[in-house]
Amino acid sequence: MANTLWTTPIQGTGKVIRAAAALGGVSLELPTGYEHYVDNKKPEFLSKFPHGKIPALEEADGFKLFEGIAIARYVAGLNPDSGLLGKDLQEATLVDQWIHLTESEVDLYTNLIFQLLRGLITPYNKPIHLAFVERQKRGLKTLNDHLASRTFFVGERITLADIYIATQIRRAVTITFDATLRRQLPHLIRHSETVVNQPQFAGIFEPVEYVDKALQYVPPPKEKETKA
Amino acid sequence: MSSTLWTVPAQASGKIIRAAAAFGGVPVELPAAYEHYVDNKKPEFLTKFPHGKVPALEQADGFKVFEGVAIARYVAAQAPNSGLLGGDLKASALVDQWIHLADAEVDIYTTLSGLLVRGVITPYNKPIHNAFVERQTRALKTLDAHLATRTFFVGERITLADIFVAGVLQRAVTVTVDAAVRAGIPHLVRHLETIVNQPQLKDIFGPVEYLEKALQYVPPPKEKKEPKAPAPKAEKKAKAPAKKEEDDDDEDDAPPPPPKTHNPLDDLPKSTFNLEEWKRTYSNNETRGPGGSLEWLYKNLDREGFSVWRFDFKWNEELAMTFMSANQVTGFFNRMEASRKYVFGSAGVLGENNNNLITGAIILRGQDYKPVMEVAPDWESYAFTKLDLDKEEDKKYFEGVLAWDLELDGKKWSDGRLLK
Repeated sequence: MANTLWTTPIQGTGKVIRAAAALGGVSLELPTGYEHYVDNKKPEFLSKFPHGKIPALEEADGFKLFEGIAIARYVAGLNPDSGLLGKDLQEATLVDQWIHLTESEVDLYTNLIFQLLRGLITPYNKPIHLAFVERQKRGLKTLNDHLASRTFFVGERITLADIYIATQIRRAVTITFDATLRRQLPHLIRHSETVVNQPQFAGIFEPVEYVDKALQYVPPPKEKETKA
Repeated sequence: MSSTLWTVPAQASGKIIRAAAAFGGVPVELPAAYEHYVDNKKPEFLTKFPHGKVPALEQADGFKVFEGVAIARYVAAQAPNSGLLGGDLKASALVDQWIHLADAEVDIYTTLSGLLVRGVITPYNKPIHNAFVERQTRALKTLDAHLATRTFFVGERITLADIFVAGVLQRAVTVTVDAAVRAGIPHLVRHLETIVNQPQLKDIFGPVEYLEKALQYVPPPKEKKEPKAPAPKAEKKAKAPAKKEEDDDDEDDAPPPPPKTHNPLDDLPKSTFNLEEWKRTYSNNETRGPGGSLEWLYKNLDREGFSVWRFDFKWNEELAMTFMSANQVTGFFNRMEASRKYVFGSAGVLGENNNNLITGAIILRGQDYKPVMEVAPDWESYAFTKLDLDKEEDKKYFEGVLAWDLELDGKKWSDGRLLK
């Protein structure tokens, strides 16, 4: 059965789904010529996915699903032998636990900080930015501590938790997770590199540029000119 | 297998787990005396749950898990016949989908907005607050539209998605989702009432307390009243309203509460009057009339152990817009947090914009209002008068305040707030 996944090549949750599909041997097709912010606003997309959000999955039998993590878990569940959801209910639950912690205490703040820096949430506010940075650090630290004595988050094999967290860390290192913090939390970096460089994932994770210093807010150029 | 769930009774994510457990017939025990912000900071808790977060579940076999959604799904999976996770992989994926949308685009903004209005993330910033509320409203609309032609989110029976969305919305209507927003999401509100009133779930969710107006940031009272403030008011510098533990989400978002000191009110002779029962009775019944809460109150009130007071704002002539007056009351009641178990209050804003007043009634432990009320830094902005419920005039006033239909000085009741 052909499954179509709407996503963009750089979308983090899309990469998680594609990596889970690759590891589980589930075939996914990406639509050719999908243009984000254009095609997902069109009535034909919205009639399938009323929230207008990607990633979104449509199967040949008409089954439709949105929300990246729900799709990733569904794709992983299509091939239970992949071990992506662990070997039993308890492991599957721990996979859930680590994904949810990362999502609600790491990604959330990567996104909010990025939106503040890019002026998508305005006005920029330094103390709020710093409060988000502190909250994210707490989440990162718990994740890093867990990996101090482990190769993977749950059990002895790659699960969806590893794919998800590695992907999100790879995004964070381009925005907030800078060199100083990386020195403090080395296990997370080692883990991320291990996961994204699995041969099965070739072509999914492009090389990224680790920021030396966390991205900072740059006021719009107009204000700068006024000062000068 | 017996499982212990660390949570606090009012925690929304804990209620979702408890509801899933009740619905699926999965036994879950709550620890007898868990104290949030204390016990979850202790080494024995952190060894088990290194992130120090509730809800957290521990099974007799030693299995431990945290993160509310993960626990809820685990509990639901232990009762496969409950249908809570849907009938097959696809239904289960749709359950996930709706849970995730409600989590990532509704609940997160309840949390973030709450942190801003309560001054936990500072400084308060109105445009950022508004942006969070707009994003939340967008997701609520999508959820509401899905329910326009459906009773439940997935299939024809209750699933974890229904319980989760209801739990998220029950919390949201106490922070951001006010009457104006609710008017645009009628199906979702109907769904909430359906879910929380399921016989198995009723005791867990309790009555939904709908906010009329979304919580707004209330600047510390000192700044607000500076123009005419007489000396005594300036004595105590007000702090930003403390975050109520009842509204707490998974996160340890609030700064730790001040260390507990012994409260002399606890030394008063034991009373036959159960204040908590009164609060429930008041919430769940009509106020006036046969079977109403006033009837219950007059029968049960212990007038030695408790006293009844009227309070009036001392500077009503300073009040401008009625919604600002209502916000002021909200702030005042929020700052009463430390005395909450000794007090019940109802207050009203009467009149119209630029011509209104704040007045209210309280029932409190003991015969002196000061030990109970002085925990709020702005208590001296209000004048307190003892009410004698045997006096017709006092009784009439008191009943008007509780029934939210009081008229005073030709001003009609415009908006009310409760302290309970």
